[in-house]
Amino acid sequence: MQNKFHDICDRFSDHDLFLTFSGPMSQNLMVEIGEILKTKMNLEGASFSTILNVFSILVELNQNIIHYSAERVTAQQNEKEQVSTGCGIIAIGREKEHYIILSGNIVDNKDIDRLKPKLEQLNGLSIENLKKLYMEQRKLKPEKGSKGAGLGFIEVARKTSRPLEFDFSDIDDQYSFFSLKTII
Amino acid sequence: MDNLIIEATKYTPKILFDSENHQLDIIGETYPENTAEFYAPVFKWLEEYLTNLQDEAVTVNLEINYFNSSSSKVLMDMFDKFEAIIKEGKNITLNWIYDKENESALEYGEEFQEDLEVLKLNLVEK
Repeated sequence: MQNKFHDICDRFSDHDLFLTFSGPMSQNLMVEIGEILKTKMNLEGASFSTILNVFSILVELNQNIIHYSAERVTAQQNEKEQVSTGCGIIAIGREKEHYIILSGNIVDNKDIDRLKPKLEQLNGLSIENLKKLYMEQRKLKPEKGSKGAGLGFIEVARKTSRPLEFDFSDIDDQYSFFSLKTII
Repeated sequence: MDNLIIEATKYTPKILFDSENHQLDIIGETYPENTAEFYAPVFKWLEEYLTNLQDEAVTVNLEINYFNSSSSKVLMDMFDKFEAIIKEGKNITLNWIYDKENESALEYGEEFQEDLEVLKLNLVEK
């Protein structure tokens, strides 16, 4: 195991990933990841707007994992209430002059039919049309089953310099692993 | 009516709604895990306040350095409320205060403005 673990770490470095987290995600953890990310980017001389773009994508992707990952840990908060958070993986790194953010989590296969066309649609839109869609969506009532405003992926697409790269790989009849790469 | 004061956290802004001086301030960053839950008391207070509002001039100061997408929706909902009562003849001034360095805060202010009919966002550089 120890040898293999070193191997895993090396693989992250090989891909120039400087910050990785895998496991149950939480709001507070995300805030801390955000803080260290801002500090590191600042030291590297990244501009204020680049830092903010990477940070806002991190927030949207992390909150997606928290709310929507099909792999969840649940705890009893008190007698009546249960709290639950999603598990997933987040990795941030460099690719030439760009920053990249990778995120992954398990999704229910029946959600793929909803997610895939949505992401494909976003990739086909110009910056202006993404803005238009964002503004239209903001005026609407939230979609059923959405805990946010249905704006997260649009926001991510608006902040990236390249199309979103995504993949759904089969796990079994019920679940798949959803991964997303964004380039800033 | 009591003032509404909520202290800031790392991911929720300071809320200072002063019903006596008719000044409503939101300052900080907003990206809570559960946006609806955080803003429920804010909207509850706001609705009661706006219902009882006579002809006093209200000043709203928003100094928000960063908001996530679900907070963006909340802000839009809030602006819609202001628009509705301006149409009833009420007097609301909204200052969108941004840091010079933070270009996107200015852009976001302009973007909200595009979506509004009668509410004017005064873009104020800090």
